[in-house]
Amino acid sequence: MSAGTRGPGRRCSRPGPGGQGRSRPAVLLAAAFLTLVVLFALFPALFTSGDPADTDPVHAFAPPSAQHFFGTDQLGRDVLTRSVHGTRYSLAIGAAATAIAMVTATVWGLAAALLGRFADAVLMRVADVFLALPGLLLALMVILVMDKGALSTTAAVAAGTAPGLARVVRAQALVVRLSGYVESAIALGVRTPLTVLRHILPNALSPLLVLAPVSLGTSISAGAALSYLGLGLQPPTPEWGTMLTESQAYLQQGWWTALFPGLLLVATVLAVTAVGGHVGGHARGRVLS
Amino acid sequence: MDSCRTMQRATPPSTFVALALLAVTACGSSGGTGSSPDAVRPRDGGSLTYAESQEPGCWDPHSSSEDSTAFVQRPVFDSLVHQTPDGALEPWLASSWRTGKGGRAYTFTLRRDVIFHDGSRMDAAAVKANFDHITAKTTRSQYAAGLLGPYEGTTVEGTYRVTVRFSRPFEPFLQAASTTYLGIASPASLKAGQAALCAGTGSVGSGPFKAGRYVRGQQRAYARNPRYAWPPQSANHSGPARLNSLTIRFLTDDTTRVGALTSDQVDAVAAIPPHQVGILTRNAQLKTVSKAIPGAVNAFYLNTRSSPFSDPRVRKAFQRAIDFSTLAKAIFQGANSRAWSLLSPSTPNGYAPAEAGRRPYDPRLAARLLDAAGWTGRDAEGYRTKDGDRLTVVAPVYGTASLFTQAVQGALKRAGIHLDVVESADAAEVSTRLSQGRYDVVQTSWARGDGDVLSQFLLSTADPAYGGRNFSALSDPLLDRWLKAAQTARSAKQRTLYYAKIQERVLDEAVAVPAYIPTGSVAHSTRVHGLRLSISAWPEFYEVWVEDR
Repeated sequence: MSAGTRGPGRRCSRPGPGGQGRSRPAVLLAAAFLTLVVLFALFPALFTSGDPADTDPVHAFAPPSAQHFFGTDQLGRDVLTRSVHGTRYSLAIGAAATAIAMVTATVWGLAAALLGRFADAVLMRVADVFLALPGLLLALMVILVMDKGALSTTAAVAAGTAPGLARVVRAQALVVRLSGYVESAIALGVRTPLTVLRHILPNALSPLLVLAPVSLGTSISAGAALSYLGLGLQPPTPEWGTMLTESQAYLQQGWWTALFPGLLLVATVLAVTAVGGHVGGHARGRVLS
Repeated sequence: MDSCRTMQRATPPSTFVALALLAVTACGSSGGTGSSPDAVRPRDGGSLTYAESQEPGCWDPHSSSEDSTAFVQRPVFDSLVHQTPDGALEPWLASSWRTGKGGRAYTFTLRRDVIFHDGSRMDAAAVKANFDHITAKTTRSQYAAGLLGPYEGTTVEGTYRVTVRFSRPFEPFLQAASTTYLGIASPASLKAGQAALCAGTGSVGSGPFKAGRYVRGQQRAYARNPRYAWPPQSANHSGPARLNSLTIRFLTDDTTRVGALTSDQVDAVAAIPPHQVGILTRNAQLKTVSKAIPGAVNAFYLNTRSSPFSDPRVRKAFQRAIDFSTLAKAIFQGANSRAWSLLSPSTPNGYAPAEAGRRPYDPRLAARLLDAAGWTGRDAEGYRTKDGDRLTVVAPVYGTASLFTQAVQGALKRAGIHLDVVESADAAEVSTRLSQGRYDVVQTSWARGDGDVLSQFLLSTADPAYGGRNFSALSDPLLDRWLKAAQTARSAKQRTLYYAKIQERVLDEAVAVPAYIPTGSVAHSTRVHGLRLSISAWPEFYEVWVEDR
C-alpha cells in the first residue's frame, strides 16, 4: 500500500520532533513534573527512605518540618512517603483504565460502523444507555457487581470512559469507510479483514489518540474519587483518594494530611491534561493537514 | 422479619460497635453528673435532640444484644432493680426483694402504682410474662436470656409478689435485672410478635417517656409519660420527666455528628472521636461529661484453636509486642488509659488491681518468644515467616478499623506480626466468620456493671457458633469452675477474689490481651442541665431539662 494511506494514522500516534518547537514554558513545566511523577511511581525508594505503612502514633499530626517535609498523619505516618508511594496506584489505575477503555472503544466503534445497520443500532443504543448515566454512577454500579479493589476500580473507570470513545471511533470509521483509499482497496479486491485492519483501523483511531491523554487525566481523578468514596482501594493503601478520605476527619488537627496528596492529584491531572492537550493538538493538526 | 433475624444473629453490632463506640473520649470533667450547680431554676417543658452513633438493628431488648438497643429503649422500659451510676443496686419497679433457697430464688415485692403506657397495670403476672418472653425460643434472645444464667422459671406468688427461680445460686441476677435487656414491657405489647418488637414500633413500657414515631435510618421521637411517678430512689427528681419530648437522631459519621452539635442542630452527642475532644472542650457553648465504662475492657481475644495462636509462645509474644500505654496515650490523648486486666476498674465485684503493671511491653521478649516458636524468617515486607509462610493473624472488624486498631497493626508489624484486618460492613458476614471460627483475633469490649460479664467471654459453653462470645475458643475446666463459683459465691468479696483468679489465669495464658479502658462521653450544649451518665456511661434523660433559647 502506498505510504499515503497508512501514513496519517501512524504519524499522529507519535508526534514528530517538529512539535517541540512550539512548546510553551507551561507545557515544558508540566512535562517535567509528569516525568517526576512517573519516577515517583516507578522508583519511590529514590525519593523516600521510609515505609509508607510505618506508624508512630506518638508523633501524630507533626506539621511539615525538615524531618517530615509534608508532616505526619493521624497515625504518625510520613505524608511525603505515603504521597510518593501512592503515585503508582493512581497512575496505574488511570493508565490501565484508559488503555482498556481505548481497546474496548475501538472494537465497539468499529463493529458498530462496519457490521451493518442492525448491529450499529444495537451497539449505539447500548452506548446511549451508558452515556445517559453519569460516569460516577456507572462506576458505582460496576463496583457493586465486582468487589472493591484495584481491579474493579480500573474496570469501573474504564466502563465510564469507553462508551464515549466508542462513538468517536464509530463516527471516524464511518467517514474513513467511504474515503477514496478504502473504496480503492475494496475495488482492488483486498479482503475485508485486511481492509479493516490496514486501512480503516489506523485512520479511525486518530481522534482517539487525541482524546487519550485527556481521558488519562479524567481516569486518574475518577480512580481517586472512587477511593475517596471508599469504593476503590482500601486503607491503609497509600492511594491519594484514600489518603484524602482518611484525612477529612482531621482537617482541624492537620491540614497537611489532606493538602499534599490533594495537591499532587490536582497537579498530576493538570500536567497530564496540559501535556496531553499539547501533544494531541499537534497530532490533530497533522491529521487534518 | 428477615432483617430482624439477621441482626439478632449478629454478635457484631454490639461487639464491634462497642469497639468503635467506646473508643470515645472524655475531657477533664468529673464522672457522673456533669452539669454545673444550676444557677437557673429547673423548668418543665422543652425538647431535647440527641445524636447517637449507632442505630439498633433490633429494638427488642429481650432479643437484641446491641448496647444501642439498651440505650435507646431505656427511656421507655423500666426495670425491677436500678443500678446507680456508682454501681449500687436499689429498688425500682420492685419496692423490695429477698433471696431464698440459699440464693436460688429471688422474691420481688412490686410497686402497686405502676401503669404501662397502654394503661394496663404492672403486676406479678406482667413480670412473669416478660421473663417468659425473654426465655421463649421464638424470641431468639441473643443476650437477655444469657443474662439469666441457670434460670428455671418464674412463679406468681400474689398480685404484686413474684419469684424468679434458678437451678443453682445465681448472684449476678439482681444486676442483670437492672439492665434494659431485662426491662419490663406491657404484656399485651409482647404479643405483637418478634417482627413488630424488633421493628421498634411496638415498644410499650412504663418508663418516663413513651415511644413515638420512628423513622428508620433517621430518628426516633419520644413523648413525656404524664403519669410517671416511680423513678428509682437515687433520682434527683420526682413525677413526670421534665422534658416534653425527646428525639434521638442516628448520625453514624463522626464528623457529621459532632458538626451537628457545634452548629446547634442537636443539643447533645455521644461517641466523640478522641481528636475532637480538645476542640469541643474549648467551645464555651458546650460541656462534656464522661465516665469510665465498667465491664470487659477493650481487649484482643486470641483464638487458641487457630494455627499461630494455638502456640502459647505466639500469644505471649502478641501480649508483649504492643506498647499499649504509649499507644493509648497517643491515640486517645488522655481520654482512655491502657488496661492491665480484663475487667475495667469501675466494674462492681470484679476489678483485679494486682494485674496493674504486670506483663508490660517487652519487644525483646516478644522477639525471643517468636524465635523460639520457629518464626525466624523475614519476608520482603519485614514480617516473620516459618517454612515460607507469613505470620499473619486475621482480625474481622465490623465497619472500619478504628485508629487504635490501625496503630496496633503498626506496632505488630514492627514485631513481625501481620495483623490482617478484614473489614466488613455486613454484620451477617462478620457473624458467620465468627461462628465458623474463621479468625485469629477478635477485638471487643462489653459494658456491664458486674464481673459476671467474663462468663460470656470465657465459659467453654459460650460458643460463638451459638451466639456466645468465647472468641478465644477456651475449654478450660478450671476457668469454668471458677466462673460458676463466682456466680454462686454469696459475698461480694468472695466474688471479687474469684474474678481476680480468673483474670490472672487468662492473662498468664495470654488468651486475652487487654488493650484499653473505654470511657463513655457525651458533649452537650450548656443550655442542657441535669444530664447524668448511667452505670454504663449512657446519658439518662429523666432529670434533664433545657433552658429556653
